Amino acid sequence: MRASRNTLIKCASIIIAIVFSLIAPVIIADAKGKLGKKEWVITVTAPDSVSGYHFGVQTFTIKARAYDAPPSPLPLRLLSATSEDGAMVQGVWRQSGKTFSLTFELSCNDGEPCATVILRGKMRSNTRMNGQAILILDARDRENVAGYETVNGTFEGVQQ
Amino acid sequence: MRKPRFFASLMATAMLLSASVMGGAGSQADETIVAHDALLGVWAINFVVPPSPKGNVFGQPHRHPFTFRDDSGQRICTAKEIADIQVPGAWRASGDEFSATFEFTCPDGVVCGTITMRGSITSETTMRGRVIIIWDEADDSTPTGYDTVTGTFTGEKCTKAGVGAQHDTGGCESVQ
Repeated sequence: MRASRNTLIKCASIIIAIVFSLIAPVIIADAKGKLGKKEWVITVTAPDSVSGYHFGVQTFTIKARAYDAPPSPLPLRLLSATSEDGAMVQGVWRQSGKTFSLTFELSCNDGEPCATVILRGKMRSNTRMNGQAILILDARDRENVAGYETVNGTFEGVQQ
Repeated sequence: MRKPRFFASLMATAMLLSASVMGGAGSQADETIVAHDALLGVWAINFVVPPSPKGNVFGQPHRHPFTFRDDSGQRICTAKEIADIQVPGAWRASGDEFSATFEFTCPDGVVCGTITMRGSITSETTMRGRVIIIWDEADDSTPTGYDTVTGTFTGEKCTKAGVGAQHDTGGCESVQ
């Protein structure tokens, strides 16, 4: 009686261990940061462009959310990007696993050179991200495959 | 003999003044209409994009209804895809030009991308421009570091009359 009980406990322990080893990676992967949770403070650094456009170092507070929009079967992934001076613009985002892409149009005064910001990055933990920033400027550049002047920079983000 | 000359010069001055005032007001009004108001509403936009250097395909034909909105300064647009899928984007406008950017909606495991449209409003009901697609696939030979391709687009603003029945993947009539 006691032997069969011990065997039962051993079997149960093995099953629990197997199940845990199977679901643990899923739990860990799921625990990686999500763009659509809370707010992210993202600092983007980009060099001056060939034509002299200056972006420098700019910080944005990103609030990304998914909104149901029936009859669309998929939610709208919208974000707000608020710069340090308080200007807020809308943008869009997507995330697949740890990698994500988000994009928004900068807020510029009429006549000022302006740009589109694309951030391609990875979640490094629940609360940290980093990656590459691509600025597509308004200035035409026929030698660039994009047809416009582009600048590559970097970014880092921390969840608040 | 002097009076007519005086009146003629007065008339000429007045005409020049009114022309300059009218011209100034006209161009300002045009900018206001073109920069912002003309874009608001629904457009049927047709894209022509070649396969990318890495072989990523945007798909042809590609004609979709786009809705541009401005909710208290928050400028959002949505592109209607097949099966009622709405792809959101953000936009800005200055003068007669605008820029709009979108993230594709892709299933997991598929190479996805970002679309940026740079265009101009050519009349109250027409637009045209260039579209840049930056795919997720890395490409060290491009300045962006990603597989990048450009194409063109033309758009027609949807009115009650519609824009014809030749839409391939959804045009004005599907949203009116």
